[in-house]
Amino acid sequence: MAPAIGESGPQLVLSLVGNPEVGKSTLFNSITGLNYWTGKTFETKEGILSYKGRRFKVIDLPGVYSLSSYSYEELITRNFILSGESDAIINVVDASSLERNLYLTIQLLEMGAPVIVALNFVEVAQRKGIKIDSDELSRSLGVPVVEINAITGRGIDDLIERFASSLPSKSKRIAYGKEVESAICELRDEIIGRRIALPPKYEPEWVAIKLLEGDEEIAKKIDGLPLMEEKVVSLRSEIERIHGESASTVISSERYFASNKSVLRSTSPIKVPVSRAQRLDELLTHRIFGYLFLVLIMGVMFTAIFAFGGYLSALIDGGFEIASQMVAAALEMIDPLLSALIVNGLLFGIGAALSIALPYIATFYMAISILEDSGYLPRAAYLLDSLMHKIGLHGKAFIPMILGYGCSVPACIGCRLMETRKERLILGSLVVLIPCSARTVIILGVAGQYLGILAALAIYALDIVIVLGIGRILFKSIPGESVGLIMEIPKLRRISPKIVLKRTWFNTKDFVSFCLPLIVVGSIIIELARFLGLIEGALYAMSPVTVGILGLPVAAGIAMIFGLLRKELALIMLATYVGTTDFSLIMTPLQMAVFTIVMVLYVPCIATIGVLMREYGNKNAAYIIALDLAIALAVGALARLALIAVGF
Amino acid sequence: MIHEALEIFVILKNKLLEVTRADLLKEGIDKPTYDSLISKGLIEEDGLKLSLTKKGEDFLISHREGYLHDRLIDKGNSLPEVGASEHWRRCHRIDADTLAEFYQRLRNMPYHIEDLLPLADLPEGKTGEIILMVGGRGMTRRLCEMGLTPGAKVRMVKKAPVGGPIILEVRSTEIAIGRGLASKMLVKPES
Repeated sequence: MAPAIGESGPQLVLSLVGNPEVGKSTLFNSITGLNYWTGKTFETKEGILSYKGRRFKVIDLPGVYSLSSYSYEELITRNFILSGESDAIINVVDASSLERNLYLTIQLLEMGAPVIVALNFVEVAQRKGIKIDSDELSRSLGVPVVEINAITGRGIDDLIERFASSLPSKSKRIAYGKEVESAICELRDEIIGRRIALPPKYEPEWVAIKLLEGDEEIAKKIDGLPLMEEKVVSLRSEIERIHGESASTVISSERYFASNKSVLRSTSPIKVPVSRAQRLDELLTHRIFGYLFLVLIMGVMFTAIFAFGGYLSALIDGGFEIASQMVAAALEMIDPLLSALIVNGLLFGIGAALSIALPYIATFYMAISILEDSGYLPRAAYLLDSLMHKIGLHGKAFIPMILGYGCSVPACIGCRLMETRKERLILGSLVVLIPCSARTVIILGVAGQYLGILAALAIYALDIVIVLGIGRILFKSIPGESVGLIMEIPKLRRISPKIVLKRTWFNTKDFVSFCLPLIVVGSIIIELARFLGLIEGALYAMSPVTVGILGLPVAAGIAMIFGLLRKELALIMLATYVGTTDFSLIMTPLQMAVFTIVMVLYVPCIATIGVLMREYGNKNAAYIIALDLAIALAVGALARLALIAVGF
Repeated sequence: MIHEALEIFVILKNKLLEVTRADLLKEGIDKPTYDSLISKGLIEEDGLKLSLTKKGEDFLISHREGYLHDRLIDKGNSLPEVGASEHWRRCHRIDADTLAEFYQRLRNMPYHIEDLLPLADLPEGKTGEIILMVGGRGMTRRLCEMGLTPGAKVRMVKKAPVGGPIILEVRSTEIAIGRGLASKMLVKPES
């Protein structure tokens, strides 16, 4: 029997488990409201659900297709379930892709986890011509099944009521084929008979399955393994002899067979006409029109971001300027250093974070959220797979790259999409070379303004060539394997403005809370350096490079120092330093071209450096930054020589 | 053709478990071919029952791997001197165990090797059954998890131009797979 829950009992823990893109996060946001924080690992989110005076801790685990130990996300999810911390596991299942989703459900049952299935996207399944009988599904899986719609909120109350009234009990495993089943039982008896010590909460049967599959993580955790080694090997080869496949493939097939049986029992086909979504899909992935749409969609997106973002940014910047002046006037009388630190350090930093985060980043997150929720991004990745293969990556790499045009911070986080360490490292090195929205301001403000729009476009084109070239070199020189593209193409879905706005808010909040402290501390340090007269010294220390190699004026160093904090403000700082906003007075057209190129490539901003360190470790982050610096200098110097050679 | 006769033998053996001379002749193998199977020591007669000899097995495997190599997986390249198995081990990064499993499957496969196609060559809109995969453990595992297990039915939805990826429908879900991966999977197209 399920234990009853006392009103005053301890806080209960629920966790959400499911494939990627099944609406798990949407459900999480909708049951926790805005009451959430990032969990122990960056991949999980935790929140609080209050229901009828009781509080539940809700944990959103990373989306996974399986519970083997092949990826970091799978391990996090699996270890969390094994820890037994979770009193109930809500397995969010995409009804429109039931058979594939149940593969994970069946693995949860193997673990004996207390599972409730939340069946999402039932309407999408119906449009696809599949009618699901959730009672029948519940009977065939042996766990409760609740239909929900994470977007509209339908069924969510039922779901909450279900686990609030009584926690789900431990689930039971679905039996597999005869040979596999007897091998599992034999090994289980061996584990029990030999009194092999298992970590707490590990079911002997589950351990037996994992050992047959050859799961190394589990093998490591079992001290008595050598006692059974022989048995495991002989059972495994017995399965392999009968089926002519590796034991792990056989077990995968058995799970899919079980999943298929449940699907057949609980679904029936209904007749549907070819939907509009299907026809649209046909166009979006078309061998010619697909690419036209891709260019069109990206064009509209970036135009909108820069037009709207630029407008908002100017508004916020203006506001901060007035505030700074007022604070400065008040503080000046007390202490000039304090005033400088607060106004140019603290206020400047906050202003910087807000006037870039809110207008550009929020707009950008909104656009990405629309593309993501509608299911367009995987289609774009499909179209661009061939191009990405040229640099040793595959289509999915396109997503972080597009993010890179908005901001390098989410782009670096987005590199997690890639499967292997090699791919993540290549992509991480490349996305920081892509001109983010702040660097676009420099391209447009210097090259665009004084050299013409063609020059600005040429710099964009040069950047793409550099990214592809560096990618190719890294692909050849970093050891390791790259896996080809294996990616789900979800059905096209109608987006919900409410969900898009919520998601935008979450992401922007995350961004601000991560970047703000870095930018503020950085601003204060630079302001302190300026007060102590260190900036002049730094400019002269930089001059062999800025003047000697790149042929820029000494003052250009100012832009590079401030570019560390916030690239688009680099121009304003430069203007303040030289006392004019007309850059044609201090730089020749040649210098402007070189300046823009170097500013685009040289070193990512402090927030990006922070996220690089977090995602790749300090050593790799240092490599990436050194690489950027080298590329910027080399390309800047070469561009200068080339431009002189053609008589610029 | 000798190898054709051996293919027929293996398919029959899978179906009937016991195969006799009469069964083979019924399947359209003529007497001279049958006699040469025996005289070359590819098939043994044990009373009425027939069985494949070690030599026969090797003959069949070398035919199948040669066909796979030439026509399917490494299309256009001639068989390297090291032999197909060593070549696959090196080029497709397959470890020895996985390769041994692959050869076992190749030996027992109850289809004419000539009836198989690389998944990448399956025409749009056609369905097929996944029979074999040539690849390392990581790749096989990942594909299995996405539902591409041996025996799974797939439908080719779409192919991107110029060697781009393909979109498949498998277990009522659409997934995109790189053309390279799709060339390493063999399917039996449904007629």
